[in-house]
Amino acid sequence: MFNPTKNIVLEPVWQKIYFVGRVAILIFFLLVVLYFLKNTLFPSEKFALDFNNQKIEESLLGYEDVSSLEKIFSAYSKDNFSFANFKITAKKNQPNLTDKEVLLRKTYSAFAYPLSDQLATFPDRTLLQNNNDFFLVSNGKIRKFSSFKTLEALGYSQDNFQKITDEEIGYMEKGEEITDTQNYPDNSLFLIDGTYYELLVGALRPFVSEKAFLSHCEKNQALVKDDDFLKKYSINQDNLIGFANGTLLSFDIGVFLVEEGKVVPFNNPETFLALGYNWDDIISANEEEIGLYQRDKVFSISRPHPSGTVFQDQDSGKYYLISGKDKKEIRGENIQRIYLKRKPVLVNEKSLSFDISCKLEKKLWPFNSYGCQMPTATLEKITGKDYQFKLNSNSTFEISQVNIIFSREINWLNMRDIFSDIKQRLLGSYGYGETL
Amino acid sequence: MAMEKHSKQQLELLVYKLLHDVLFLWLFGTVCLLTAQNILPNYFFSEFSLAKIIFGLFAILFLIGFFGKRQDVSSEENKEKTKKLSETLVFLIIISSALIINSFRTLEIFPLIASCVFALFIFFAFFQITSKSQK
Repeated sequence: MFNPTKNIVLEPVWQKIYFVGRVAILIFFLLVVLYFLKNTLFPSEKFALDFNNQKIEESLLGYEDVSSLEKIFSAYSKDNFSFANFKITAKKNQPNLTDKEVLLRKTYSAFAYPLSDQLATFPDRTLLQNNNDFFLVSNGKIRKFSSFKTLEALGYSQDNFQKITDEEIGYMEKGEEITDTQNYPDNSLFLIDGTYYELLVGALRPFVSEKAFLSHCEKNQALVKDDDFLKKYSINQDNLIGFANGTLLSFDIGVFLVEEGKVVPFNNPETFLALGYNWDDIISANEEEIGLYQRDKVFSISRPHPSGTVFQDQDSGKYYLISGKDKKEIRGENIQRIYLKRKPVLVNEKSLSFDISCKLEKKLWPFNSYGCQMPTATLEKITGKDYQFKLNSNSTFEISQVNIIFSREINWLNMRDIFSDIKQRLLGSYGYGETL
Repeated sequence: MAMEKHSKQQLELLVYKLLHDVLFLWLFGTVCLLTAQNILPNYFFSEFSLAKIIFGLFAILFLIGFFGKRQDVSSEENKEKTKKLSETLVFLIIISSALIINSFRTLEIFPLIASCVFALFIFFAFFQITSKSQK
């Protein structure tokens, strides 16, 4: 090794100590390098929740008290791991948790919402044709035009309507027939002087832009009218209609998700990809379009998909629509077409089952702590970002702390993934390939 | 008493020498880390903090200065080091050039030309000043 102080000569005994010291320093340096390489190339991810000193909502580890006997802890990561170490520390004088089973699944938490008995139906504003009957979906109900003459008198033609099957019409709740040929029913759509409007409670509500209109409906659903039509109804200019829930927008350097009248900015590209979204689905918004919304807190990886998200089960091919805290199956080709304006988020039905488990064992330190390790390599093929750990107990108990550590095994497969990632980053940073 | 003083002197010289080895490895590690970080941004510094690395470097330099002064070896060392300066300078120039060229990869052509012209101007001014002072 390079010796910068070779002109300073020590006595033989001290020279020997110096030699040993140099070797020790070199070995220590090499160990640090190995530790650094291991942590960089095979990084572990740690999640902790301290019930004594931390607010649950501020924790990186999600917690859900399903019942007094069943608890779910959710760790969020876009990565795949070889092992998950689960450790729980109970408060003093709690029942023994040895041999209690901890179960694990990897999924999207929104996809794990309970399946509603109701099916997803055609959204408001949709014009439908079933054989010789014509309908408008208005206020959640399907309203039939009393006759073809009524329909023509209102200015519609057959081209404005989307053909649907008998089965699809059966999913809808029926409303009053449309008989009035002078006044339009709620949720009728118009195109007047380049602006799209929706009629709601006797007033016309403009869409902020054509792009916003197209995120909800098709062009042919709107009746073309001239300026005189605007005199007939009041215009609600203060309440513009924006984009459909779940629409992805870009403005300046940010990407946003539309959620219940707000736009949520993504905190980083990794979160966007971890949620299963597609870059091609982003719509470029202008200042007026984005200004319509209030900005919410950033969309972090722990946040579930919002209402309006469509999931597609890769195994069965079924589609599901997230509606509040439920998911509804989207049955019927024509209904699916309406909701598939954006690519669905791909999921696996089997991600809902807790297939991996381990039994808790008592740990020496800290006292009252129990832990176990489970292999997670099989979860690699399953899409999702939420690693959910379920703990069932026969009796109630109070928790002090939960720690979860995901680690990667040093093997050829993981090494290949790491090198592939480095290669991608390298090419990306020099402008050859996709950058995140 | 004299024996004890002698042992203490040897011990301080030993520490002084070992600190140089630590400094060398520290600098070597830092240069490798910075080079890697420059080639692959945001990949390596998640594990290390640059502030801590620099703080450690200053701590080692302080200790070397402290023991060097106590044993009065700094002046002899400096003479030796001046001879080796040109060799070190070549090494540093190669590493710095590689890092600087690498950092230009994201620049547009006009800012790149402007930076090069400005750098040449600074270099020329520096060259003029140093050659005048040597005369």
